[in-house]
Amino acid sequence: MKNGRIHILFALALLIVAALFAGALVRVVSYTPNEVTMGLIQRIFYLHLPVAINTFLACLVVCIASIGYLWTRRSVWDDLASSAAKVAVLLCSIVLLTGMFWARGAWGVWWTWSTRLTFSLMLWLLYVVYLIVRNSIDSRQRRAMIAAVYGLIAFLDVPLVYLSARLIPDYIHPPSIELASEMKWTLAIWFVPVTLGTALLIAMRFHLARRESADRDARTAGTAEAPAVHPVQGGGSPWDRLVLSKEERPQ
Amino acid sequence: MNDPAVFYTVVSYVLGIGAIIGYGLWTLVRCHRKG
Repeated sequence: MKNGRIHILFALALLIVAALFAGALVRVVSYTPNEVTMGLIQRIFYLHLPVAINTFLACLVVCIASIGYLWTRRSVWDDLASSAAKVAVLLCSIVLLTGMFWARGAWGVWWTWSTRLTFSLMLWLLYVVYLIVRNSIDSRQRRAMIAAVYGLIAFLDVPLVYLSARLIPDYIHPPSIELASEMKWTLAIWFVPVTLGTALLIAMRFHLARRESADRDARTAGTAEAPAVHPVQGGGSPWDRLVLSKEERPQ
Repeated sequence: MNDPAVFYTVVSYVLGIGAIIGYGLWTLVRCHRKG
């Protein structure tokens, strides 16, 4: 399939995800009752939990892709792992921020060093460091190998985040919340746009990473024309400067 | 918006959805620039 068609498909999929988010928002605002003890602020939960679960899924993709790279040494697995790690950092940032707003509104504090919150912050840091480590190694094979081992080890924090609130009592972060039937439906509905959005973001980043890999291979072989990268003032966004290696950044 | 609970809830949703859709749009623009 030609790249132009793939981009149109991505744009359409993004529009569908945006429409699903709009529908899910209507559901939260109009058809979901307030929770008895926390009131309106508890509605953050319908975004917070699906994004948290999808953070775990993105980390799982990094882990599986890392195993794939260690097993086969094919760059396609490395590209998949780096794409999923970027999405995992984005989602984990949303989880931490929405959690902080929720804690401030419900319990009057922005943050506590409880077990689950600490492990969650650690998860975010682990994957930010994963991207920084990737960014700091110039040799492609060495970068892929170190990132694969790191990606495998970093995943160990995911079960710690999940189990910590269940095994260790936490006065801020409850292990679960009693939900009425309408609330359960709202939560189920919110999983749809968040999961589709996560899958789409990973697919788009993966497509971009494969294109960049192909450009690099062609440049290395000395057979390609100049890569089709359009100039962007200042070498791309601050996000790109953080997560992309020098050769991946727009010139 | 005078109620802090409303403010925090609205900000959370705007931030969360905005980040996911915004990152998707930014990636789409980068894909398009690649040709």
